[in-house]
Amino acid sequence: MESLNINRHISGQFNSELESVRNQVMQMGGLIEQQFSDALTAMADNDIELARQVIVKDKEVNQFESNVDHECSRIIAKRQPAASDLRLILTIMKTVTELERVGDGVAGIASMVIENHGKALPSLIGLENMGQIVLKMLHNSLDAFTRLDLKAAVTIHNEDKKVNRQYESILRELMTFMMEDPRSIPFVLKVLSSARCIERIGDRCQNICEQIVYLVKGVDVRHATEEEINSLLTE
Amino acid sequence: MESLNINRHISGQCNSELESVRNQVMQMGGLVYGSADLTYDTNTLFTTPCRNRSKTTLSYIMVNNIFTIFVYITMQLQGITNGIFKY
Repeated sequence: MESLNINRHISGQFNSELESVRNQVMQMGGLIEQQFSDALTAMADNDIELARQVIVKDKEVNQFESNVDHECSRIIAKRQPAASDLRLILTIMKTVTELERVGDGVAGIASMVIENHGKALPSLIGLENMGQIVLKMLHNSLDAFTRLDLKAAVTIHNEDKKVNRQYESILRELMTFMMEDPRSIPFVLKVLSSARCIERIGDRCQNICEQIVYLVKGVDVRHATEEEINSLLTE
Repeated sequence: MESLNINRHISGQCNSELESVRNQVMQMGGLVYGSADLTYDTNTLFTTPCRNRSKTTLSYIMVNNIFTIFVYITMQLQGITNGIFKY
């Protein structure tokens, strides 16, 4: 685990600014994790009240993104950070964007629960399982960000393949359901869009992990192959 | 229209660096736009109304915000690739 020495500046004020912005990202991550968990519960229990709460709370997530971005711009303008400080700020700016998009995906799932309430739908067990896997990925990504854990970031990055395979399997299942009962197509399409939202959240966790690798190692691995990313662990 | 005075630095190098990175964004936008156009043309084979709607929407967004285009096109491409071509 790396520490990046973010508390070793001559200016104590700079230390606390970096620490504060990092804490805000963690708070935002915690909120989104809770939102995602609530959205999955709402989907499993068909609880439209919980789904509505998720949609309302999405505004809080958006507000977090604006605040953190504003704070990062202010630090860049005022402190002109370099090296690991600059990487930390850039990583935070990109991570909050990813987290905000995760929040939008979660709100999309909640909307599906509300719109499909009372409709005859195919079994959502596959979708719930995929949701739980992605929720765990999100939790681990945020944990890796907090601990600046390179190994964990690479492991999570590789896990996304599993989610993609599950998404394809759900897609096939839903296509069969639509062919069997064409009247259900409008509702099933909404379920399909939720599956896509969950799959995209998995991709966003992968992006967060790429940012962690950049923060710790200073190497851009955004479009690198799995082998190239894995090789960083042995260096 | 705002100019932001990005070519008014004491350092000429700074001017050209800013200009270069800005040009790269525009080149990237052009490349993505071209690819999307090609994909929508292929899409006509399947559904003409869908193609018309997409193009109108695309033109409207382009006038407003180039970054929205990136996001929109990415989503459309992913949707088309995963949803239509595969099955």
